[in-house]
Amino acid sequence: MKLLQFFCLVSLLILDVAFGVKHELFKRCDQSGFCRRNRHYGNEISKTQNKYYSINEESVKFGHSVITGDIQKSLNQSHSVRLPFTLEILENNNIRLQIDEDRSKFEFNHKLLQKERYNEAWKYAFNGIPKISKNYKVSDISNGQFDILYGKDEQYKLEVYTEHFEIIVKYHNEPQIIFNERSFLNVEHIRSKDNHESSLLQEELNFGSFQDSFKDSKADTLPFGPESVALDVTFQGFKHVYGIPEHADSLSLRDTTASEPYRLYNVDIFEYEVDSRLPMYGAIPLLVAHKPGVSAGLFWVNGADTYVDIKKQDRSVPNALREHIDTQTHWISESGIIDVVIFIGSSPTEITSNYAKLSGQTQLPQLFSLGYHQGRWNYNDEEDVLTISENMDKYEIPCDVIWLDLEYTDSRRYFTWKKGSFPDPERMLAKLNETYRSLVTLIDPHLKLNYEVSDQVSEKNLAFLDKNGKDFHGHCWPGESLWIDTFNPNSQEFWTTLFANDSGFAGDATNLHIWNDMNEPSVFSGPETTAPKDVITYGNVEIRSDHNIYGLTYHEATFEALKERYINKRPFVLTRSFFAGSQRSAAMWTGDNMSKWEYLKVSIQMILNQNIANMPFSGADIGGFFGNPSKELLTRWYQTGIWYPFFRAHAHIDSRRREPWVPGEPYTSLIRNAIRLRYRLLPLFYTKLYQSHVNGSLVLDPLFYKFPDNRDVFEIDDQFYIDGLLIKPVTEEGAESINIYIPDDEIHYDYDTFQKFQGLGDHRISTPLEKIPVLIRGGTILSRKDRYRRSSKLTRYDPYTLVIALDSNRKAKGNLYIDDGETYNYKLADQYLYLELNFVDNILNSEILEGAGSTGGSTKVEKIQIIGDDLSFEEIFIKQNDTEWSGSFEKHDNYYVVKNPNVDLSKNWSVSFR
Amino acid sequence: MKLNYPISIIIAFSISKATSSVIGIRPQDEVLFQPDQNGKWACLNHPEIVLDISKINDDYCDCPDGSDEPGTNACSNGQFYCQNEGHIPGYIKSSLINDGVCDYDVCCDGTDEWNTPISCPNRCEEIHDKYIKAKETKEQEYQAGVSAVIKFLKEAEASRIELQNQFKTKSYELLQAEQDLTRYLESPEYLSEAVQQEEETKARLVIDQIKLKVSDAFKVFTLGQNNLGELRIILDSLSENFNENLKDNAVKQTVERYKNHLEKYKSQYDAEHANELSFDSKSRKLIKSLKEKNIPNSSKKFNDVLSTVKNEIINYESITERIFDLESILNYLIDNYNPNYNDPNVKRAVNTYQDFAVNKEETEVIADSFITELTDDFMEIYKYVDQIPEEIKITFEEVEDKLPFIDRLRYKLKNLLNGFIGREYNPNPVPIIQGEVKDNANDFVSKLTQKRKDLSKSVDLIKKNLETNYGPDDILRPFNALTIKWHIGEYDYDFNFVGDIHQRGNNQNLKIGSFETVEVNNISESEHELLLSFDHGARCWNGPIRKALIVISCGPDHELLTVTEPEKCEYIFKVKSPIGCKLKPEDKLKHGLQF
Repeated sequence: MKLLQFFCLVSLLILDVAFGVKHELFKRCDQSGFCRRNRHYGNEISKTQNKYYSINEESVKFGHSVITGDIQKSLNQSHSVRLPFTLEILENNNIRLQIDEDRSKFEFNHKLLQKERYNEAWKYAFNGIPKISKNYKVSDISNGQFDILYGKDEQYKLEVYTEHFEIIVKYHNEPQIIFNERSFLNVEHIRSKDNHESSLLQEELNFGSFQDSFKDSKADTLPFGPESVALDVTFQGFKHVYGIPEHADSLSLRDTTASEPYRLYNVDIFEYEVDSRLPMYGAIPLLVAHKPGVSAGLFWVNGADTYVDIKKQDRSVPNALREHIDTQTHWISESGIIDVVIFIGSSPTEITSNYAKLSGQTQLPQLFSLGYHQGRWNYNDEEDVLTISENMDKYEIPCDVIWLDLEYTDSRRYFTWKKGSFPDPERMLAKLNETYRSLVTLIDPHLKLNYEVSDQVSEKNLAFLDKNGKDFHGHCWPGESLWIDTFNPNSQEFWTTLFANDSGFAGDATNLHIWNDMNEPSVFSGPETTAPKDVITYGNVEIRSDHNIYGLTYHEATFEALKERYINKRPFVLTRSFFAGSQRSAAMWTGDNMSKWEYLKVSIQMILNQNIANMPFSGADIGGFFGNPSKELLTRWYQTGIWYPFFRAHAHIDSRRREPWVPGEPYTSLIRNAIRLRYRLLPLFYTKLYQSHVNGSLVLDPLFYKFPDNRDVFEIDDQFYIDGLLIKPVTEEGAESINIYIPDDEIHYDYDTFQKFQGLGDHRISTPLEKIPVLIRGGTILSRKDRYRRSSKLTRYDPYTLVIALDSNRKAKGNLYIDDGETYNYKLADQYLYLELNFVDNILNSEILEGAGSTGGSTKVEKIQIIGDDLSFEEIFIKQNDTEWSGSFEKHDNYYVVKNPNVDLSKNWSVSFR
Repeated sequence: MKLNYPISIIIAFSISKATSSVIGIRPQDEVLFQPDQNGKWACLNHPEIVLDISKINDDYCDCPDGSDEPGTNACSNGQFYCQNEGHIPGYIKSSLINDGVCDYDVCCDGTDEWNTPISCPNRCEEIHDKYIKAKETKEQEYQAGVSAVIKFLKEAEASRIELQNQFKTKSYELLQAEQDLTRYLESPEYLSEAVQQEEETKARLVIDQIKLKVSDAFKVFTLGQNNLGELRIILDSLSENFNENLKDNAVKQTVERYKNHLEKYKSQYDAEHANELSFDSKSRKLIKSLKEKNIPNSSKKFNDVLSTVKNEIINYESITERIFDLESILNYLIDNYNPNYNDPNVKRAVNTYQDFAVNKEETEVIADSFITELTDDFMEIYKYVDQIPEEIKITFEEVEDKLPFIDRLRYKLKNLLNGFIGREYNPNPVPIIQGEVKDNANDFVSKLTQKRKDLSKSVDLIKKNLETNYGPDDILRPFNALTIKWHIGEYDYDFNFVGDIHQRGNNQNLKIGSFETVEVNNISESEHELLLSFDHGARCWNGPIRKALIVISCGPDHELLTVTEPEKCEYIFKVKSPIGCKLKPEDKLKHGLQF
């Protein structure tokens, strides 16, 4: 043997880091007391068929659009629990049901906690007090039933059953939604630990009632014992239900009978998985159900830890023409009250829109925030930031925002700067502002102990409290921290001072915007990486009851603070955590995804779901946060990401750099082309966001929103419409071609070549790497700004290009919204234009529908492109201000171009093609 | 005629005057924008496209070459001419025209915003002043640096000349040595003596082989012990400092498992702690004992050696076992810890272990047969010793007294070994014996061979050095032996511009890289930057080997401006130094430099 000592490197593969969510950190339903108890109760009650809940008929009072009374939960012959309910008929034919619990007779002497159930989730979830409807009729109670007829032509009917509490909602004489059909209604009434065993019904399980056995939350004091609320809701004949974001899953929700329920509990879910019902960063408890002719929605207004079980119940009659499948849902929340709103209408758009009217519409973002955002954890210093900005110009890639993650701060103390790296933030901001670029910096709710900001939060009593009433301390990025309690109205005032104009943070810069991360809240030292459930928030409320709302209160506080700072400018705030209502003040992104193809794919499903749930201003990290995407994946991700309403590339600190110029040719050019396409289409995105802002419409429409009668599209979640653009991003590695599904017989034109596609069904499109599969639907008029500029604001003096794609009847239509792109003047002074472009009978009409103009930018049109078959115009006449003149145009095979028509969009005009 | 569009600024310094009637073109190009007799005009590079003259600058792009829209941004490939009176005229890209931004860096006269409400006052005077001032500052820095540069260049020149001279001398000596060797190998004296010495050489060879084996074995032991020590430091520090509040089960498990490990191997650790002798000193002691002159009486010594080695192999096995155990604990940590919790202590443990794992010297397991082999070797010695005649032994000893004979043999063997494993060995050159003691023939041959080899090597080295690119005018040559120390942020840096860069801090001394190449990035006629590439530094976790780019610009002193790490383990150092000054030809002449 030769005795040799040699040097070798351990195979790197062996030591590669394993990625994946840490399942053991998160409670499964069977590890969660209230979830397991309710699932058990559901199973048992299905067997025993016992009925414990009834309406005390004598207690029922009929008021103005409001019916109140008591539900009785009978424990035994002599004991019952009083559960006051309120039933309201709201405008837009929405019905709201609240069930509370009367705890007045219970002795509860906790100095730090209110005795009553938390019933204020609606204050955050709704945009103000909901308006009631006057258009209804109520019958008297007879035979254990009363009915309410409401809506236009009394299309709606509510049947309330008293003996066994049940509500059937009918629309067009058909039952659509049934409450408590399966008797899963469960209000775990308050009881002392001593009386606990005797308070249990025979169907109830005693698990985790006063003691949590999950390893990380054993310290939970559960001061109220069991207090969950649960209800079953059946959607009759609805095979498909959607919504309840945020989950990394298919758009159409799955049956959860044999798996985990969908869970809504805002958590920092590190390295999340796809195809998963695990909870994520945000929660919007809105479920949308759809079948041809009828759509419905259910809004579960509760901010506590919530599980939703979904069961597809086949009730088809043998040999029937069509299957009949009900979706049965089971809603389980740990605490709070039952507060549900239901929506029924003729289309899914109506449901989202009605929900938006109740919960508030998406705020109109500043134009810049629809541009390209370049992020990375982290750009290291001022020079790094400015070099990124310069490189964008060098490579002629438009860009609006550079992002600074965590590391810009001094020791992760928010509102400070790492002085060595960012010696003069105002100088840097001013430099970026030269081309109207913005900077977004991270401000999180955890505040490191022992510095100015956290000291003041503590002094002013604005922090979360622990179960003993002391400031709650936990660990997050900076180490030991406290959390600002933005449920507390006093927090707003303080928070506003931190962002104030001329404050130490960024002087008077107006191009600084804010990113709120970790606001689930993420607490590294807490159970399920969040705050222990017995932490106390403002108003003597355990965070158990308002947990899912916290993220919203936090980003809303930031929004309000920025509004003060900028006086008349719309703030931009990005949040990771959200709740119903978040759309009013923030954009969201899908958190920490991975550089893998399946995450590219799921991003579309997730963003479509955000659109359904009325939070369309959403995006996913382009390229994937963790890991290093291949150049192909990066390119395809940009080609997909340009369709996200919020368009940001971002990367983890351990990832290699991947700014658009890093991959080199041909990738850099393909990425540039994609980003420029997005910028050309900014007028379209801005118009879509405006429409969402005004009427709650979607920016990205799943196919079933556009074609609610075509059953074949109900499960399609890999393609979508944005206005008349039908888009199917390539999300498969090496895909040489893809099938795109056209949902009806209308003509669609290839966006690049104007090649015609027609016929319901799949069409093959070849997809070399440079190809982004996009079709323009016949009947569409698109507005664009085609000229490359360094940032969105720099396009303001550029003229528009109009693209008219004729449908089979040689018609087309479109809208365009224009304003100054940043202020509230559209609202305050009517300074905007909303116009309709209409092509019919060979005449293009541009008509101003709303607004008084004064948009501060160009309203000229440089080009009108008209796409269609057998175009045969010989001359065109343009008319504006009572003057008519002939225009010049170019003929091509399948399209014509009108050159410089010299029209002004701020007045009506027309072009006639002869 | 084709209009030739310059890329951006016209470098030539000429103050411009006069304006043109077509917006966005040079006055002298106006002739190209005249209508024909029908009021028509053709795109400059597309004569087939004929337009009405009114289509020029009508904000609609008609010409594929963009020539009809010099004054607007309608054509994406257009160029706009800025007169910049009082400063340098320039062309600006069409995407910057009329966008609401005064692009003063190209258009100091503000004419690029002629069609927007934005007001861009002419700032040419101010900008020109600044431009002149900046030029002056640069000139001052240059002047401050120039004497240093001259000094370096002179040193470089002197050193080069010195090397060239050495090259001549050594080349001549090499030739001589080659001739000496040839002559001796052919001499009758050599041919007669050569055979005699074989046996004794063999015996000594075996002893040396043994020493080498023992020493190498002990090196492996030492390495193992060091590795174990490093792993323990990582885990000790983790156990002591990790944040117990964070619910990272993997970390807790790790600490727990480490505690169990310490418990399990308590006796071994205690024994090692009590035993003050390191493997290294034990090894030295053993080797020394083998230097016994009287080989036949050494059997007890040999037995001692054998039993010591045996013991240490057992100890070493325990070390390997413990290393394996600790590595599996740490691998578990890496696979399972939650990086999002960001406990700096956990991250440090993970990073240090990852660095350790990729950079550690792997040791081969010492086989059981090692002892048998060693015993066989000892037996072999006796075989030779018995046959060695008395007088030869004496000769041996004499030689050994005067010369490091053993060392020479070992050196031979090492060379053989190293040749086999492809490792470079740094030789202590064997002294040349001059007459006094009559060397035996083989030694003399090896001596001559060695001399030839050494000379050949130094000739090669000199040649390589002379051929190395030390940058413009050989400027880096004098920095061979100069290490500059800098402190920036939390690190100290040791810089040798043509050697290694080391980063010290956080209890680590990491090699960032070794000098590879130097390139010149010409910025202008009077300015350049030196780009020094360093590569093959310590390996980083997950693959990349550390490397660096040093960007040196002109300044009066050596000054480290910034260190950035835009990519993990790829550093950029920005340095100001006289080395970065681009010497003007006249200054070279003035100081009598030859380049």
